[in-house]
Amino acid sequence: MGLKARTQALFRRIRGSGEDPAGSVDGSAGAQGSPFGRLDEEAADVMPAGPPGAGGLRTVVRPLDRWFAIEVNELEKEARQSAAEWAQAGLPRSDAPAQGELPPEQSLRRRASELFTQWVQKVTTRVQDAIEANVQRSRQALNEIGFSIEEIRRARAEAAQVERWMDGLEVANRDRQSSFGFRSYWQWWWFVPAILLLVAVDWVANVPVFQELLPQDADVSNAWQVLAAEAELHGALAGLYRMWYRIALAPEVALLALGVIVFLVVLAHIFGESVRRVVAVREQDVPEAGRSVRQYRRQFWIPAGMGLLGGAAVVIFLFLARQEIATFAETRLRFVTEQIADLDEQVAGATEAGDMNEVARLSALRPALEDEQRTREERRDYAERIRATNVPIAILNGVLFLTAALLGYLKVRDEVTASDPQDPRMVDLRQRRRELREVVERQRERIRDADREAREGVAWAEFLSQSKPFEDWEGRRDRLARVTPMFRAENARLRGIDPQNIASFRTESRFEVPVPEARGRFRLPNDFVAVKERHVSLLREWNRVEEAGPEPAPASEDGRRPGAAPEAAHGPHPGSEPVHVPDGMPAPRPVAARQAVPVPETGS
Amino acid sequence: MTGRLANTRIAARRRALGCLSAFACALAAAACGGSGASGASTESAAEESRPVTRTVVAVVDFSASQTSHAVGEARHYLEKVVGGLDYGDRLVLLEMYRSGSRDSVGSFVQDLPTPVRPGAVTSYDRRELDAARRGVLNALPIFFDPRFVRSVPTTDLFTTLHIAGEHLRDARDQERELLILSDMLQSTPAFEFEGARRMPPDTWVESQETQDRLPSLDGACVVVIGADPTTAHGQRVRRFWSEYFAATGAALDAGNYRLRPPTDVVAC
Repeated sequence: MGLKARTQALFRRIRGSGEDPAGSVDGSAGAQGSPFGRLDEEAADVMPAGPPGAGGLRTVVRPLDRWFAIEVNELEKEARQSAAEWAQAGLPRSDAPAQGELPPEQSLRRRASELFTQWVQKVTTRVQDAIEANVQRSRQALNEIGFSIEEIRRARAEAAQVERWMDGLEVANRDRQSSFGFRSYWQWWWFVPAILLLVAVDWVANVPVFQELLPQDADVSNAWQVLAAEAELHGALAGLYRMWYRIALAPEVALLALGVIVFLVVLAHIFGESVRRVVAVREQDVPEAGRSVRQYRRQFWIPAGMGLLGGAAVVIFLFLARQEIATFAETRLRFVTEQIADLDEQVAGATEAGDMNEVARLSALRPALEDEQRTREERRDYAERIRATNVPIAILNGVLFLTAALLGYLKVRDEVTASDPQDPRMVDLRQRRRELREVVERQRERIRDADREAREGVAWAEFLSQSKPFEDWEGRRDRLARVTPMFRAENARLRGIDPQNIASFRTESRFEVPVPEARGRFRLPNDFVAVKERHVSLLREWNRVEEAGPEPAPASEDGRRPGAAPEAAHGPHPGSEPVHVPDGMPAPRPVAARQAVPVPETGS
Repeated sequence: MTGRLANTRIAARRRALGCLSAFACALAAAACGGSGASGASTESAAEESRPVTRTVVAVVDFSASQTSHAVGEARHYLEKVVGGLDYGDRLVLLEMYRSGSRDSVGSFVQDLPTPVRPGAVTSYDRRELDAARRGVLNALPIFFDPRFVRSVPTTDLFTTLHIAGEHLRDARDQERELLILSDMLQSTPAFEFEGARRMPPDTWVESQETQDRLPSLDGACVVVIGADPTTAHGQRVRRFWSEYFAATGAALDAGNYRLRPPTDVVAC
């Protein structure tokens, strides 16, 4: 980027074209639009933020100062350009007698005079606009204060009505009772046999698994062979006898299997019952006993979860146990096979020794072991089949769990009496009271903001009406007056001649502008006094509203109102301030928990 | 004896479980309308009709007068006898004595199991019976194994019958059966039945009975296989033994004094 381009970009920035110098290196963007567009925008913003302080008037007329500097710079540039053009033409001749101002000098003087006049007009307009804008700002703020006061008044009236309704409902419901519950769809005389059958089915299905899992006593095995054979004597009842012998011979297996199955059924039952208690009662169905319903439902979530978790754990345990029985069965079969091999060796040894009695005794043991081996082979086959069908059996266990849960779900019934029912309308009333309280707080904030706006607007209007923006007018006049000498000096410099040697330049250049008078130039709107009086009036009204109409205290969680006064309950508001009132106005009592608004003094 | 002890333990366990089984019986009774009572009466009836067990004492002669063919036939017949043993029976195998009671001869006693529940034979009982028979049959070759049997020229039937009588006396209320697999030829320094060379005098049995020197074989059914009654000497020997067994209280039918073993086991 060359020096010229940099200068142009900086120049556009100074003139406030609104374009980013970095983004317009080629100058195309800066060449578009009015170079004073930005100044016009800034000129429209005549409401500085905050109260008038040390910056004061400067914050209002700062854009015009920049505008003036740019325009003067342009004028000086034009003077140098004209001087160069005339110098190139060798004008004015040095020996030509002076006959008044040269044409360029006349043009520059008129432009300077016009520029000064524009500056005065622009400053006057801007300050006056700022006065009007700030007064308008105050008017709007006062309108907002009035609107908010009305909103607060209306909200408090409605809140009072809501309180009366709530009190009436509380009195009406004081000794009432409400009950809720659900009936059973599965009676006891069906439930008990069904559960017993369920336990029996699952128990019968799982006892063989536990028999394979637990260690077995050899005597029990022999006894079982005897009793199982004896069961044949009972004909059609052989199965019952065999089942009973199985229980009696290995009660630990039966008890363990029964315990596990009972656990499963009990867990399923608890799960089903708890789910029914959670599902069957809804707060919406019994709105007057909503709190009791919530308490009732809440306490059954844990049993439902634990029941489901425990049931799943039992089903998984059975799954894993079935997965392992094939290993145990194979081990036991191998053990019996080894026993037979040992026995054969012993028989061979006794035969070799000629011990007839031992041979007879040992040989007589072999059929029992062979039977045991056959049994073990059957058990191994059974275990392998169980392992192969483990997933379907687990699904069946899940179905049994769900069946037990369903029985519990259908069987359970309950009826709960809520000792402190609440009218369902109380919920809506409490909600409405909460909303109204929020409305009041919101409007208070608006009042505080609007009051600040109104004060600042009035202050700025008064400040600007008394301001003197033309105090430095002589400096600006002198700078404009230097344009003609600049033309002459530049012309002479370019021609290499002393300006005193040019006859036309020996005349003194004169530049005169009218003195801008600040007094009486700026005026406040006609309704400015009325605006201030309305401000005072609204603040008094606000103080009266605050003093007369405190909203009810916040309700407790159960909807009951505390007996203490709201002010005592909450203490003084941290933002409380003393209320300033004009002379002759009764001082409102400070209201705790609210920010009292100071009333400004009236006067024009 | 080991099998008998096992059965006793099982029976004891069964009695211990009896109380528990009562519940199942009650259930069964309820289901069948009093089948439990009928079951009890069935048990008492079975008790009354319990078959009488027997003690079979088999004497095998391995003397030099016995041919190997005769010994083989004797072994096969014994196997049939063992196959016919029933619950509670006792089998006593005795090797023939040679020269008095001080001889060291082979003997084998096997009690067959009784049903766990008397009168109600179950598959377990049958299996146990078969196992016991199988044990005896497995042990039988040892009894006939030449490694353990010495073939000697003498045969002391009288001493052997005394020993057999003692075994039969232990039978108490069981049926008694005495199976003698021998040619019935006493061959000792005192008597030599071979060719009737030194037969006892006709009053010998009577005198022995008078002196109470005969074995007590009361009620025993005697079966003799291997004796030859076809010769004159054989007939004399047969008469002697008929008189002898009659004096001991045993019964030796004419048809039970045989040379060759029958196809089926001889029934007493």
